[in-house]
Amino acid sequence: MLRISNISKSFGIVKALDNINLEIDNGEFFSLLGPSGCGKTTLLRIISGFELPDNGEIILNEQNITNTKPYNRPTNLLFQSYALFPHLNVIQNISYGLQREKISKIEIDKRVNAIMEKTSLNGLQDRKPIELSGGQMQRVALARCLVKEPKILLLDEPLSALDKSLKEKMKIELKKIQKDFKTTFIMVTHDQDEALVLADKIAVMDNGEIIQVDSPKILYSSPKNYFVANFIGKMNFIEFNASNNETNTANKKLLNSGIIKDKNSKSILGIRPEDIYLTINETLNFEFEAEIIHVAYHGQEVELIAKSDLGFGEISIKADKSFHNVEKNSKISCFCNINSFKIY
Amino acid sequence: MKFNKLYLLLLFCFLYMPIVVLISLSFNKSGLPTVWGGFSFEWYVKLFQNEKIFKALTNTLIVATVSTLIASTIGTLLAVGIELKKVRNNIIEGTVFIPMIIPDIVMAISLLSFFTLIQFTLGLHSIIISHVVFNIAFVCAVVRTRFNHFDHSIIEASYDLGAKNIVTFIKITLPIIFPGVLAGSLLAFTLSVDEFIIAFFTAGAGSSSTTLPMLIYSMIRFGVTPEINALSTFIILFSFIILFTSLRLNKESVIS
Amino acid sequence: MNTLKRNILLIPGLAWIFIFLILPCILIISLSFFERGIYGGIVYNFNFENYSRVVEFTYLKILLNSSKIAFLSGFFAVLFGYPAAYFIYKAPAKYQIALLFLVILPFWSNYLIRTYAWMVLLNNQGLINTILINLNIIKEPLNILYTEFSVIIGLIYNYLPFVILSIYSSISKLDQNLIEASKDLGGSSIKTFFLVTLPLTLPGVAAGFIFVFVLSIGNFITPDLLGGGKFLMIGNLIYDQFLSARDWPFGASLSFVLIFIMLFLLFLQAIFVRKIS
Repeated sequence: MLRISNISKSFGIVKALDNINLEIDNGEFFSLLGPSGCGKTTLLRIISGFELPDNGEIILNEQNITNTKPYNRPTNLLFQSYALFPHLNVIQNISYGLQREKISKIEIDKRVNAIMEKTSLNGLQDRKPIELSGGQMQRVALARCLVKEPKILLLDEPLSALDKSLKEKMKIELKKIQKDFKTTFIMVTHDQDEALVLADKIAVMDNGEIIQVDSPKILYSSPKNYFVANFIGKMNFIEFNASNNETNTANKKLLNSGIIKDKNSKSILGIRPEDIYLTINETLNFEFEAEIIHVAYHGQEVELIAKSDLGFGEISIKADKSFHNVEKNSKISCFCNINSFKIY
Repeated sequence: MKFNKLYLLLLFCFLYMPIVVLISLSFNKSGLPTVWGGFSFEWYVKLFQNEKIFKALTNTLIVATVSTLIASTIGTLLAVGIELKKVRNNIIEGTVFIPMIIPDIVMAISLLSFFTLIQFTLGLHSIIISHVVFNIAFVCAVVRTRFNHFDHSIIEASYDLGAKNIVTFIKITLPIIFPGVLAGSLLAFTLSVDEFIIAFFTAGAGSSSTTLPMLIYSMIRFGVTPEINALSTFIILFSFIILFTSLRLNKESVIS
Repeated sequence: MNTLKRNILLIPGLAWIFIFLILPCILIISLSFFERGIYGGIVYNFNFENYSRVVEFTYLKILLNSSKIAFLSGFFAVLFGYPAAYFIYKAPAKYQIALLFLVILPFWSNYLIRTYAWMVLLNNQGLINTILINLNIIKEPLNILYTEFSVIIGLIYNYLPFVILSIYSSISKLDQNLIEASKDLGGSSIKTFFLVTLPLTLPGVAAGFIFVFVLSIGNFITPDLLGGGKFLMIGNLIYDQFLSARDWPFGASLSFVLIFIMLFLLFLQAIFVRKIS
């Protein structure tokens, strides 16, 4: 298990990490998720040994590796640019790490061939990095790390350089490889979709702090605060402000239903678009009206942008094809369950 | 279109006329520019018999080789040190830039004054020391061009995979910058071979430390013998060969 | 990471340049404030004598003359170099690299030898005079050699390749869209050239001019060989102070003035470049 305790790091006046505490189990696919500047890359570099923290410790399987140099750590880093050695071919790149250990040439060849098989790189042995496609370069970088059988593989925005279709393919491959090798993966990304699909557990970060650590499922259904709710998945936000006259009817509705408890409070309500229904059924115990502002046609789905009578804020509602002829400014009835609302 | 071609033709006449004249003169039996005495290798023969010239040539080659070796090593390390830093340091940039722009006469007299002040005896070694100064700057500049498309994360990748500093330098950095090191060395060698005024001032008295340019200068100033045309032709051809070789090694560095 | 080890890489190079260039330069500057002793040594009494001597008429004249020669060299180098660069640029793409290569090739031969070649060409029995006499253009040989004119020719010859390359580089970096836009708006080729191409390539021209000027003003070999050993330029004067006249302090002050002029010019160029962009 990897234990990160009380890690802090500042660069000059900028505090990149503020008292970070995390526990990551062996064999887990873990993701550090957050917007740029949140400190996730700094944390990754501290775990890999390229930055030294100002305070705190990194403990891997009961061993304190905080001050261990990168070349002595049982961790390996998959760089965002892949960092393949341009003057070496694929085989030489992959063998590089093993040659630094005291392993016989026969053993090195065996392991390199095995990993090339596993990462579908056969046939590319003599190619130089400049002759490889983006996807191939990434697999070589991956193989180069995994052939060393690290305890932890750190991935720095692994999918950011790939185009859309390749991204989808690599997501599946990465997940598969992680399960195959049973290595702990720690992935840094700003793309919440990647994190949700790939990770077993996600740590959402902002401004050098960890906001919430949970499985994708729980993060999605129970975001702890406004930031997480906004960052993960799509969320509708409605402002409730007791002093705002415009929303008086809205206030009454929300107070009466028990969604808002304190009539003097200022809060933001969140509800996922898919939790708003346009036809009633027995699980739905709350109703409100909405006026269509815009209809966005997404092929098999239609997205209705509307203004609800619950308060200030546009909401997005998922509807099926039958709604694509709905007219602007027409009014529709919306149904949902009270528990679908998150209050911040 | 016609005017374009005519202009360029005139340009190349201007650029090559002196060289062509010199080369043809070297084969001119009479040795005089105005009288054609017939084609002859006489002056080349005399050239090869001239001991002073050979001594000067040997000195020049010694100075060039030694100063290039020293400057290549130091200049490469300097280039690597500068490029691996994330922040650009203007003082360092300026210091390395100065040897390239300072007028050679100023550098020559400064070195002479300096050596005189510290009572340093002059000779081939003082020329070598002086040549190393500007050669370091040029080698450094050329090697630095190899860092233009250099992905710095490969250095970290090398550490990450288990290699320490020296191994990383030898296995990763050096092979990648090597064409630049070679081109820079070739440039330094050429500059040293051609260099006159600094050598002149730092060679000290005595003919044992005369370099070829110094000899050529005194031949031009004080007594022109036709051997000098043969010598010039030789040097011209030699320089061109070096240029072609270095181009083949690294087009990018040379052109920049 | 490894800052100390990185700095170790820098030390040999920086130390060498510091000890064998910076220190000597500081020495020269301080030397300029002292005086020449009776027997050619140095009398350490701090004053500005040398500098007031520098601006005396005789020496000032040489300074101004050097500037004049350097200016003319730069001017004509740019004047003749621009069309050359432009025509090379207009040439079919496959020839351009070869043409540029041919332009820079002469530069790769020894400086002394190149200058000597001009001595051969320009002297009274030289090729130029012989041709002119044979063509009956002149009766007596022209005294071209050992004049300011021959020095300027020599300087232009030496630096022309660089000017051409610099201007070519400037022209080739031009955004082609601008040229096409100008033509599209009705500008003839000539007008386009003077209103669009020329102004936009001015930085390359300026760079070329300053390059020639700065290298010419401190030049020693060309005025010495092609100028006949007369004190045409500062370089010759400094040389003489250290060799025959044995007035090192004065030579030092001249050097300092030279460096000052150069730095001033480079400074001007930096401002000019910033203004253009």
